[in-house]
Amino acid sequence: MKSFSYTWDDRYFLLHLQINKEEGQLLEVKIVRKFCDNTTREESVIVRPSGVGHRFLVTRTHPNELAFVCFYPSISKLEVYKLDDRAYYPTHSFYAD
Amino acid sequence: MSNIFTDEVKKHDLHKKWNNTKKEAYLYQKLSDNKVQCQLCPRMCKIAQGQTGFCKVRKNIKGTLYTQNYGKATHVTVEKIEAEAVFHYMPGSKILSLGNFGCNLDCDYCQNWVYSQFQYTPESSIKEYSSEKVIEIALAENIPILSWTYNDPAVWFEFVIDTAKKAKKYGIKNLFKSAFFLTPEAVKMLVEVIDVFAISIKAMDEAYYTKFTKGWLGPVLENTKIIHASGIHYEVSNLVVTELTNNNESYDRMIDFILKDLAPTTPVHFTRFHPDYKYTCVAQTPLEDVMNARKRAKDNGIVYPYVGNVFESDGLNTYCPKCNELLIERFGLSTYIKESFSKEDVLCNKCGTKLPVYLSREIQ
Repeated sequence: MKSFSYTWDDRYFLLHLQINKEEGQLLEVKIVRKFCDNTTREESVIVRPSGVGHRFLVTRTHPNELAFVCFYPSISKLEVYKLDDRAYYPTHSFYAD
Repeated sequence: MSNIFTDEVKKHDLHKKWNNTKKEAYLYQKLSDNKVQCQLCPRMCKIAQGQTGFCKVRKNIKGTLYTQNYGKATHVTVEKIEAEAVFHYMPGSKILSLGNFGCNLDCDYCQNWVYSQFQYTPESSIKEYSSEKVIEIALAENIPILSWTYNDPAVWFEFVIDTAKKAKKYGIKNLFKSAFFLTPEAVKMLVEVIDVFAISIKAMDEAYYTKFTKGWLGPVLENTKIIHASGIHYEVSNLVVTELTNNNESYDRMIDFILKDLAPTTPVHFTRFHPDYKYTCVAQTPLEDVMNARKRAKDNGIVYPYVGNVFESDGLNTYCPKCNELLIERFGLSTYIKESFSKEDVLCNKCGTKLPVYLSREIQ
């Protein structure tokens, strides 16, 4: 697995994460959220087989949430986009592996 | 801002290359000399053979008007309903956000201009999606709502209507987020299949519409009244644009319209703008501006005014209109329904006041 870490700041609370893969691959991505009391919360995102790119929203859920780590399969690649607005579809990522 | 616009941005001009005859448009009439007149929006474009309308996705091919975007999407993304400035309908629900290309407006600050202005849309970003495929994705991921959004779905009209009808059979709801620059006939057809409308009213000023959106205000207001009269759930959002609409006169006009022509209980969202497309010479809307708009709305009788594109603020929360108890707390797009709110009876547990919030969820 590969990982991407992000620390929330005052400006951005919405990100798009895009998993780029091969057609037909069914993948699972884990989002581990970190909170100021040192607790964590884990979520799973299933990347559907059809298509080569799957984009989903990661939003800061609470002021006590400080950061998150995204764990994704080594056979895939990740791009991350900052959202200035809701219902916004940015085309330029700030992170790509 | 990531989609930076300059005069050097490449034009793919797919509207000049494509001649897609998969789907005939629903609202148009044939004229003489092989011309057609589109009747989807107030522009009522008269289109010569081989040409498109203003939106660039409705094309006259040998005297018949065809949509060029039927069954094609640029974005299919899982989001939260709060992303559409909808707070009183299935709060916290996942939505399948669907976007396509083209638009019957051209707003100077459009954040999705790469797709709304079809001449810039690259073909590589466009994928085929049938109605059945869209529904299959929603069912597989247990998503109860299809959200027609990003660029204005007004120009995706036929695909929205067809897919929404089919989705209904599975209990899937449909949300339509739009500037509502449509003909009344189009709105009436949407009313038959859409479950919740997110209406974007950009300003209460006709000159503003002409200059900054290339559209006009009158039809938007008339369509909003049609939606209001239909009884279908809707919420209004207003993008507060720095140096254009972040002033008391603009807020007051919006408030007056809602109070006089809609209802004081209409949820309204004053949303922060960010610089984009051709309007980048200003800063993001200051938080205090949308908070001021919200306060003015509340002081004048709007019961549920909110702010948008804000992470943490009282302006995101839903309070009991009678006792002011915090009922629904929000941070960004995350929703926390408090114990003070009865989900079964949709009322404030403290004082018993009923709230206009729709909570039902049905997936067959």
